[in-house]
Amino acid sequence: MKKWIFLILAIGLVAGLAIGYYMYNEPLEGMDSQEAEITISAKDLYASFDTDEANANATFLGKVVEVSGEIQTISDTEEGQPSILLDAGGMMGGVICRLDQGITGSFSVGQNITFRGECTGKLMDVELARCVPVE
Amino acid sequence: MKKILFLIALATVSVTSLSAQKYFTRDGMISFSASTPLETIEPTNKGATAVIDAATGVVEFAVLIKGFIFEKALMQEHFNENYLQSGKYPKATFKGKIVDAESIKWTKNGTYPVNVKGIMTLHGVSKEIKTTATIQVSGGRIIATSNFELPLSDYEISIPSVVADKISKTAKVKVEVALAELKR
Repeated sequence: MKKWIFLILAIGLVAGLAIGYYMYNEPLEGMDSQEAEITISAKDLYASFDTDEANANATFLGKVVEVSGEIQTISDTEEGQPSILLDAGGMMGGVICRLDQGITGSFSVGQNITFRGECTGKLMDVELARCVPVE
Repeated sequence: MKKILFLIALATVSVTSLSAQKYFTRDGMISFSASTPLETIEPTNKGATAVIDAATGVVEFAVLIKGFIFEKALMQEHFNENYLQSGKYPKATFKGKIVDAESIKWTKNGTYPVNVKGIMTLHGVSKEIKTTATIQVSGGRIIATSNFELPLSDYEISIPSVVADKISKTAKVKVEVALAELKR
């Protein structure tokens, strides 16, 4: 009887350690498998930040956002992924979508597109990190 | 009337010539290491904004804290929620000056070691820092690089004692930005 209890405890301990180890080392979850919390146009998203940044931060920061707009520029960084700027109708900035590692596809200026990514805030442009294109 | 028109024209010309001496990027790379023998912590942010004014040597950098990408989800969560409080302080900025900017020939290819001094604002704390940097002029583009250390305690970033051995008390920051002439 004692042997059984010991065995069950040992299995529980090993399983617990394994789960803990897995959770600790878990990589970032890709945007492919995440649901958008907010769906918005590039124009509206930029306008929210432009009119009241603190309020927009409270609404969008860290959220998975699906944003649609027309591609204004594509900048190819030397190492890594392209960043795609969506037109927001403003003179000063737009919505910049930084593609996630391993995301490829053909993009062209003037194309209408939707990206899903995590909103990280606004510098000159409103920024979305780890973006994937949405069909 | 003619005088006014002339003044407006002159003002437009001088503004244009001034802005032509600025270099800019929105795709700058800033990474840091807070690794210890127990843990590798090396996140990267590829969305830094940087402006260098060639005429005055004034430099401005800005980066979004949530734009730092870690390998482990839990690490990124702790970094944002507990250590840097990026919901409250979403940006880090540096505003300063290349002290010896006159040594740089902005229109001629070459590599120039320089000194930079300015105010770093991080986690709501502003502090003066000094560092060395390299300005490389190459085919009309500017590549600016710098390495410096930021002690976490300077910016009131506290690490709980449970994980204190895993996280370095000083972040080794690496800046690597390629800037193009700002056209209006």
